[in-house]
Amino acid sequence: MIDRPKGPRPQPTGLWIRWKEEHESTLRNLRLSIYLFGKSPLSILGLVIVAVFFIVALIGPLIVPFPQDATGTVHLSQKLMGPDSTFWFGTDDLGRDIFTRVILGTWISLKIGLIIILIAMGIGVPLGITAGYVGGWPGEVIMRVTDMFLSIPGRIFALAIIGAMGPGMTNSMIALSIVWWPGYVRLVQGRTLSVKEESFVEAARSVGARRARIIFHHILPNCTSVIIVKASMDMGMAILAAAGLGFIGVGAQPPTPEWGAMISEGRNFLPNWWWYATFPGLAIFTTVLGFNLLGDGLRDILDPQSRS
Amino acid sequence: MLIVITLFGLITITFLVARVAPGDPARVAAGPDATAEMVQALRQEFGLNKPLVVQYADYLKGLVVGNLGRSIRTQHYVIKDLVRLFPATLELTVFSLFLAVVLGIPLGVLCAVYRDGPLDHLARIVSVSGLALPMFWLGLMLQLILALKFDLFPVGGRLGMLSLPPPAITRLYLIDSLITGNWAVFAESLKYIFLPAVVLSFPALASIIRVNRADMLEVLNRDFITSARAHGISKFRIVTQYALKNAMIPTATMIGLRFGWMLGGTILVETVFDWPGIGQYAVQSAIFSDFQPIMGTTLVIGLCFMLVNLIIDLLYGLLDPRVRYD
Amino acid sequence: MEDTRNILQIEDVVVHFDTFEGTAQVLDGVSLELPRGHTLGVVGETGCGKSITSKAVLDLLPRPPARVVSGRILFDGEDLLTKSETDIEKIRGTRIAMIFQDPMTYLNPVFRIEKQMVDVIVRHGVTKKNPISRRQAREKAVELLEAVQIPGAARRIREYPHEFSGGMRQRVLIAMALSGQPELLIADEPTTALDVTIQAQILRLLKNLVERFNLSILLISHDLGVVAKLCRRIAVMYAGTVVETATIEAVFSRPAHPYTRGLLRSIPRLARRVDSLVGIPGGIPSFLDPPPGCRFHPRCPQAMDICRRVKPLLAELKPGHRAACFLYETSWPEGARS
Repeated sequence: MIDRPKGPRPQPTGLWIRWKEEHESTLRNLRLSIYLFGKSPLSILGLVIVAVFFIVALIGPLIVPFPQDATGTVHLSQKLMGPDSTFWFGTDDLGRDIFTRVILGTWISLKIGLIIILIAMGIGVPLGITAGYVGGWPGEVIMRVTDMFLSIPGRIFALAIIGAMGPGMTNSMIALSIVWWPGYVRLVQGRTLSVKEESFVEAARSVGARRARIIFHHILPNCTSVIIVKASMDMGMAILAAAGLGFIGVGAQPPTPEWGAMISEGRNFLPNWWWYATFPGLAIFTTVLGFNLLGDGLRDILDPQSRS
Repeated sequence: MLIVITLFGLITITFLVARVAPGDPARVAAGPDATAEMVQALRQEFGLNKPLVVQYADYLKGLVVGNLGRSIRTQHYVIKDLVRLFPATLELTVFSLFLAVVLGIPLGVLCAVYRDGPLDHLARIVSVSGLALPMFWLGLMLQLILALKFDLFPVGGRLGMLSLPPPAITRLYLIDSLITGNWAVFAESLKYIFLPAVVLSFPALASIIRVNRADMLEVLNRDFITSARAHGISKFRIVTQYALKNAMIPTATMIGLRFGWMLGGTILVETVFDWPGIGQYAVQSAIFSDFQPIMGTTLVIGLCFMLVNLIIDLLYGLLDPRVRYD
Repeated sequence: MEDTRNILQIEDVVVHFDTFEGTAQVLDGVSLELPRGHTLGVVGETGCGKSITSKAVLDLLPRPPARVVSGRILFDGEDLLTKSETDIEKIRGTRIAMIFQDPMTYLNPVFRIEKQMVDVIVRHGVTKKNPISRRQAREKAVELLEAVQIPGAARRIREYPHEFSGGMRQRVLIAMALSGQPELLIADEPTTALDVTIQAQILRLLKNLVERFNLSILLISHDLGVVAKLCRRIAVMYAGTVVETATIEAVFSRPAHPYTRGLLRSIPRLARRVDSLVGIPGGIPSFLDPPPGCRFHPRCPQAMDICRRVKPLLAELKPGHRAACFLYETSWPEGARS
């Protein structure tokens, strides 16, 4: 029997392998980014806080000790009790467990923050890309209008919108979205302008690529990193702003367990029943801190030139 | 030219906010148990039943003579309310800005010079938390601890109930009492303004420290600093003159932006500390859905912001001679 | 060993830079001598460490990353590396002055020339215990500008740096450098950022100043032509170390070190035929992981076994001509010669 020498082994043509090859440099960058991110303890802290926030928001209603205290129930017999082993954050003036309400408020804040940011991005990013890429007359108009919106300090603007629409959680989300979108226009327009000048865009144009393809395939991916950084910072700021409106009384209305509204109620019970106003505030602080740290960490790895 | 466009934009947006947003301001203002006639009467008063273009023209005409409508809640003309309440807000925001700048810039410089030292780490904690702390909650906590528990500061208001404000020259208590030599009132006004100013200035302070530190670090690495050192110029002069003047250029923009946030922040801080300014006025109007005062306040605050940005633009010319010739 | 004829003597200076990726050994034992009243040119490719050497003299290296590990820098007999920050500040500008490459970035853009010059002159007055008022300093500044041939000095002194042309800015910097009447001027690539015609003017100016004030000049440049115009002696650096020092004529006619030979061969000269244009193969080594022994050995056409293992001494093979190369007996460590 002649042993025929085997030929070269056939290459595995699995889709997974091919995908890995094509995106090799992206994967390498991803690994480097994760490594760099891991070197900053503050960024990790931010990530942990945000992760906890999301988890608590989603499974909160399943794990709270007194789910019926979300809305409506009244146990006057246990009102205004200080923090102890049953009621970790104490109870409020209607006898409801504050710990439960703070946990439930997490989901509300998450909802509010996400909706505001998503709407703002949904309006701002397309407008920004248009203004940057198309430029000319429509671009000028978009930018001027954006400037006008940005010339009014955000909180007052939101208050004015709510003043016209009437108080409520939905209205406050709409108001804050209107305040937030111009920021994205500016960011994305600037980025689009600089990406537009890059040689690979010129190269694409010179081989006749269609506008839409250039936008989706080249410009948008280059904008994602700055958008992600801004979005994570904005998430915290949006939650903060919404809580502020809740505190004033024009946001979520009682008995919804929104953190700002809770602080507003708790204000009436200082200083003796201090826990009422304190714990929701700590929740806000921790959450916003988490998003800020995460945003900083992301910026350091995704957009090193704007590092502070 | 740009200023005129922005001004017009401000006016127009303020106008459109009420009329274009979903919902009916008249119905909202009238309250949940108003009759149809009451709502109609309000619509008439607000002029909402006329065509949009006519409303706009009326609005502009009103602005020119200073007629910003009437507040349902106070029954006064909005312009009168605003004039009465504005000085308090002006005093609070200017004092807060002063605190933020006077503390923030030196701290930023020190952090840059003694990089990674204990001060730098402490300042970094302050600046990171400064932007995450809800202002209203910080105010409440400070009230709780410093005012209520330890009685170091008053809980709210501009002056004690039994004290008389100084003669109304500028209507800014701190300045008026200084001018008239009334030290007791000056001291007391200072005590009352202190907590709200600390709270209002905190986010701005955090930002300024951060940005100034970063700018100083960047400037200190530049070539002309090496050159100045090579000529033997003292480290002190290099930091406080040669580097700082260059670092202030980007920092100035941040200060302008932060002032805008501060103006917005007055709605929270004035509420917590019962400070009788236009922020509190706007909040109470919003709760009552009293829409004319809110529009008026928005306009005033927008104008202030524009003015501050204008001043900063002019300041640029002073700081950076290269800009002057454009 | 100290020679009192030398105003500046750099002995075996080792400098490391601590970077993110490791420690870069940027200066690996640099030794130079500059006699009083003479001009010494330091040449080498970009990245060879000549700028770092010049900045090390006045302690202008950015510390954190930079660290002087060992060596001595003797100025007029005293080791500058052992001096405190305050003492060095007193020397800067008054005894040793420095001018740099790009006059635009080396002048403070937000201050008038007047302020920058007056600050410096007043400062020198304080250091020399001979205080001078700002008004007198201003007059002196105008005189200095006139000495470096800036027309309309009295008027132009009120202007800002961006209102001057490149050549004039460099003159301003030279005037500032000389305002303290220094004994030694270190010029780090002073003409590199300027047009060729302006280059010639600046060099002429420097030559003029050497003669008038008996100034000693340490001139750093990657351009052999520039160095040849101004300097009598030349030191050739490669990858953080000095490989050859000699007079200009000696280096051009009888270069000793293989790197110097390669350098001279790669300069196009109008008289020569084009096909004798040769580059040096390879590139400068990484400072993070430098080659052992002689740092030039990977590119050297005459590398021997010992070159890969031991660093050659910079030693005198002829009076006034030193080289660091095992082709010459003098560079071998004491006694050894296998």
